[in-house]
Amino acid sequence: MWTYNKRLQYPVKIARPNAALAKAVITQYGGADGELGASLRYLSQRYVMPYEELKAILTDIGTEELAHLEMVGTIVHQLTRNLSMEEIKNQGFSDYFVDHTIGIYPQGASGMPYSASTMASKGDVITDLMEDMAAEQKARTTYDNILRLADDPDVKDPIRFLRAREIVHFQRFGEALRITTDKLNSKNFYAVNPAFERK
Amino acid sequence: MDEKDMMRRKIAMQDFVLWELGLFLDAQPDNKTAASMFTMNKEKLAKLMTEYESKYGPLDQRHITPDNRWAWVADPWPWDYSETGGV
Repeated sequence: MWTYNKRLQYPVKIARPNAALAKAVITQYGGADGELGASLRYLSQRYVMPYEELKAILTDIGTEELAHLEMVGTIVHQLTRNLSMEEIKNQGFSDYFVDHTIGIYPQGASGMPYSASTMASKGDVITDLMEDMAAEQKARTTYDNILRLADDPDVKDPIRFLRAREIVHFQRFGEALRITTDKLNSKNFYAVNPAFERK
Repeated sequence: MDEKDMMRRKIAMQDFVLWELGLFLDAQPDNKTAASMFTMNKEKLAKLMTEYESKYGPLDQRHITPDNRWAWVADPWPWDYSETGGV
């Protein structure tokens, strides 16, 4: 179960709306490497994890991703507040606007709605942890690209925080992988899948 | 930034320290240094939360009192833009 704290994990306060930038940032809300997918991936993978540390890591990182989803939603919301129809047209926001007005919808930058086909829950410990490490790096690259596109310090500051979290999570998943391989046969880590074949 | 926002930022910072220690302890549950830092920082956060909530209302719905029940529902919500706020 979960409870809600009525505050953000890190401050978001964007003075200048920018619809074009909002369309890029929303990819971390519902895109292929976004926070929604990250949370669902970890919270779904944890059920068959055979080791206690892995259950804890996936639960807590999956929870933090929900706090990041809220931060990204907040960035997009503040970037799209008080837009005039002229700004919506001139900043390339008409296609999003016609479908969602200024509501927050989980989609990628290209407009593709969130799809679980962008994540895996394979039921194999090494496979899932490698997926998770790759996912953190893909999200880090996406935040790097957002930083290349953004010139507003109000946006860059929380994006830099989110980028740094991807690196910390990568580190924790690396430790989870080491915990796993320490328990397996070092001559053949793949001889058994401890999420399925219990000994 | 007014006093309320300063306190919210302090809470966010303190909570971040605790959260980061928590993730570290998930992977290294035997680490005694991290565990004692976790306990110390947990107490600091609890103190800040109690102080904030007694002045400005609940950050968690379970912390409402008969006097500040409306404050849970009231604006601003975390995503609302405010000139001063942001946490």
